[in-house]
Amino acid sequence: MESGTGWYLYAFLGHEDLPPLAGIDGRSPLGLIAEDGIAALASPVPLAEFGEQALRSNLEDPRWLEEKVRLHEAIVEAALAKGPLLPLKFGTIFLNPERIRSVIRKNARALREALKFLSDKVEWGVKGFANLQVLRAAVLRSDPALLALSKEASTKPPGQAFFLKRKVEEGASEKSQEREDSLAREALEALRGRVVELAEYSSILPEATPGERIALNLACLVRREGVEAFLAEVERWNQTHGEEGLRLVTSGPWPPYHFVPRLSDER
Amino acid sequence: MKDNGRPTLSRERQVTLLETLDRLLNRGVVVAGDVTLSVADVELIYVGLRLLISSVETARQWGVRGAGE
Repeated sequence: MESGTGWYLYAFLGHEDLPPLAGIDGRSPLGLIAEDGIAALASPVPLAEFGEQALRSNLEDPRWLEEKVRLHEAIVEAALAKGPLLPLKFGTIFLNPERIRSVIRKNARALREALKFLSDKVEWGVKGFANLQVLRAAVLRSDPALLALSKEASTKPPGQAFFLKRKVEEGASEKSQEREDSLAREALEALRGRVVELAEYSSILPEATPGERIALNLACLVRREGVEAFLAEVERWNQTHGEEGLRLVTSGPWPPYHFVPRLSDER
Repeated sequence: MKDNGRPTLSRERQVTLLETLDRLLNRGVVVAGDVTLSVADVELIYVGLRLLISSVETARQWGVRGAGE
């Protein structure tokens, strides 16, 4: 097992206000490694737990992972409450703080620009949950071709009716998928005017619950002063379209994970 | 964990957990540290997590941590 200490990095800060929390190991104090007016929020971590080998096996332990993910997030959010920051990806650990300084030096301009750009903005998450049953029922109720087929099936003898009904089922699947896609596009367009930037990404778990699918998964960068209007737009969508089979659920505000700059590689 | 009478993982809570994982594991500033999760690591974590989160019991546990611990 590795011994010694590494530095776990949480975020780059444009301020030097430490949140009143312990580090991700649960006991070490948070600290700042500052260079060029930018501070890396970090804390020492034992390599026996966070070293390369240990980390690999700990990542396979969902309890460990959950605890550490929550701690990482809590620390970043507490720091965000004190001022703008750029959150780091989970699990970034340096063995030598001098290398953190060099990363900051090499990327100082990009970091500063991003901190400035993000200073008045927050990230919100929007997930669109498609209710497959509702979508299907709506299609079966309103699609003229499917209605005609169903009607025809009801007048035929069992053998023919069976094939017609199967056609109705297949048509309904296709049409409800189309409807789901178009509702997702509509929702996205409705939100576009309320955000600075949008990022669409695929979720870890697209099949959220049985009968439901995440049809829309967005990270939205919103001006702080525009958050109210943004949330009102989501609410408006749910009121006017929620019953049609696509409901939007928001989460936030988040640190701007989806809107941070790419840094040039150190090595 | 036995059923402790607490509510199951709510929609909002589940969304928050998924969103947290999606963000921390996939996004954020990427810096080449000495120990940094590689894309392959994250893929592996996701395979495991998908199985775990999709089981209702685990989802419940993830949402109601704290009882009896």
